[in-house]
Amino acid sequence: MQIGSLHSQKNPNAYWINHSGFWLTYFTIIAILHFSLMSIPFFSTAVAWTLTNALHSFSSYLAFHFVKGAPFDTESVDEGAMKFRTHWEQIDKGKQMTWTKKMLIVVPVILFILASFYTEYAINHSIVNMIALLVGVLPKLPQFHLVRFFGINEF
Amino acid sequence: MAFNPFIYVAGLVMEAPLYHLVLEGLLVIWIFQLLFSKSYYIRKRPGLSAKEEEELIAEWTPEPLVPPCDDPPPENNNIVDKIATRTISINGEERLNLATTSFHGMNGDKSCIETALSAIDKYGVGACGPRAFYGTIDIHLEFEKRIAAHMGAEIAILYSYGFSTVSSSINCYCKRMDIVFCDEGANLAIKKGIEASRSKVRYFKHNDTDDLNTLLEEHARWERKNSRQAKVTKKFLVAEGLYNYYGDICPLKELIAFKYKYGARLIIDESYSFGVLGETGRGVAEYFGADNSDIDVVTVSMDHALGSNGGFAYGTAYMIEIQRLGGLGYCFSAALPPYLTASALKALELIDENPKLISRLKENSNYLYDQLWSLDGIKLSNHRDSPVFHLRLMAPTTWGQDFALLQRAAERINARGVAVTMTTYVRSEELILPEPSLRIVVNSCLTREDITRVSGVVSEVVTEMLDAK
Repeated sequence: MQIGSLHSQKNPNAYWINHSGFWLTYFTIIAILHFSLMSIPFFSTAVAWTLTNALHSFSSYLAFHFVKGAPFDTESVDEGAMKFRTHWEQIDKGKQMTWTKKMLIVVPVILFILASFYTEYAINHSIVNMIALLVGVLPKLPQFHLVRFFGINEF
Repeated sequence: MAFNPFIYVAGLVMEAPLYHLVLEGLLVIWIFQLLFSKSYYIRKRPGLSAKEEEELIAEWTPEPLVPPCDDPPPENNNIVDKIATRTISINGEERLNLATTSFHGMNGDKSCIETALSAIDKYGVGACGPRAFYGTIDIHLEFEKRIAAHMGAEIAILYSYGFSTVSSSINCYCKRMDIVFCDEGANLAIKKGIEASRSKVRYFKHNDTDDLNTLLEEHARWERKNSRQAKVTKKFLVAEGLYNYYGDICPLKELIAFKYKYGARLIIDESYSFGVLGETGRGVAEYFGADNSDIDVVTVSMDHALGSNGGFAYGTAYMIEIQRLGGLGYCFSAALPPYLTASALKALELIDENPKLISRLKENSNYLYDQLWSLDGIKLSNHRDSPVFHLRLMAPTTWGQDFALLQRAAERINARGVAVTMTTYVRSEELILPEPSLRIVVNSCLTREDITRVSGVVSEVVTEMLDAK
């Protein structure tokens, strides 16, 4: 840890996501992703929406539920307690249903509803969108806190 | 008719399959439920009911704020009124000094004191802050450079307190879920460091390489079963160069062999062996003719041979640089006062220039050992080359009785003009309490006649005491 830029929190990874800029940045990134997919000429509206939904879910899975530990040095403060925790499990020190967490759960649901509407409920798009919904929502639920199926990604 | 977006959307939705509408309806209801739910922490155990709480409170008897001390330290009003080198002045009475661990009398050396005084003139008395927070002074950097060059290591790091040098270093590498193999006879600082690190610890019997081997084998079997977890579990071997509590020397060659065989990191505390073991006092690696770079981290407290204060650790840059950010004793405590650094540097120079000091210390230790080892009823747990002598009873009874007996012996030896002490243990903090011992510390300022006198007094008193018992 750099003493010159020392933070007052034990694990900054638990808090930065609550900062005021995060929600705006998050929505902006989704919008940019969506509009850049829309601007690709041979993608129809339906394909662009399904891709937006799928990419969002997939990348949120990677960022929140796959990568473990923190980019900040927390080991010298907590002796490595966060080493095997995903980012989602670190947010708000493991508190469930905080406003940031609620927002992050609601966004994939809204994306799913929008994508279903714009794909005109076509069955092939629906399957992809439903999988994306599950990937985006399920691991965020309190029931899956610190759960590792078959020890996958445990250490 | 103009285009009405609401009718268009409603038309699309009406065309949607029923299951989709049901699903979306459920999702919307769930979202609303979610938005109005309260936040909470997941508790592993269900909370207590009001009745259970009442019961627990009724059962509780408060402990006193200050618990009664089961063995209060013996009261003595001994005051040391001069700098102790060859002799120590206790309550105005000069005695031969076999009590302090200043092995070369560097705390009383004139040139060391002059260097310290001129450093005070130049820098003032304090460093005014932690090393990374305006506390670094050129002499700290010079010391680190010099000590690294002296030991043939890549870099060194300077701590401001001897006790915290080893505990911070251990705490810096060993984390939760790591495993530490530590010698049972290691001193309190090492054990406290391991405790603070929260890693798993296996104590092997004092200097028993077979026991260590079985523990390592056991761990290797566990590793084969849990290979995924083993990949992220670090292993450490921790030992002392010269044991403070026993005065014997660690089997370094075997430890290094284990290190390479089982892929562990080796941390050695050389607080007592620095400036003592080896031809030029470079510690236990030189003593065994091993390569210094085979030891990952060496920590040294400067309280002993260097006659100063603070401590340092050295090793490869890869290992030591972590301590600049992760060593809590380095980051969060004020840097070593410059004058203490200067005097330690001077002491290092003096030891480096006079290898005679080391050889004389060794001669003295060997001579006293040869005199004392044949004493009846007493066993010496220390090595022949060690200046730290531990006299323990051959036939131990209970801890308290033995301690009292040796304590009386120490008092009588003191009364005959030779200052010795009992080894003091913080009994409430020790996990594995060594047997009580009478400690004699030889230093290189003593002459051969002095040692003869000491051995005469000690043998007389010990024989008297044991006969009376």
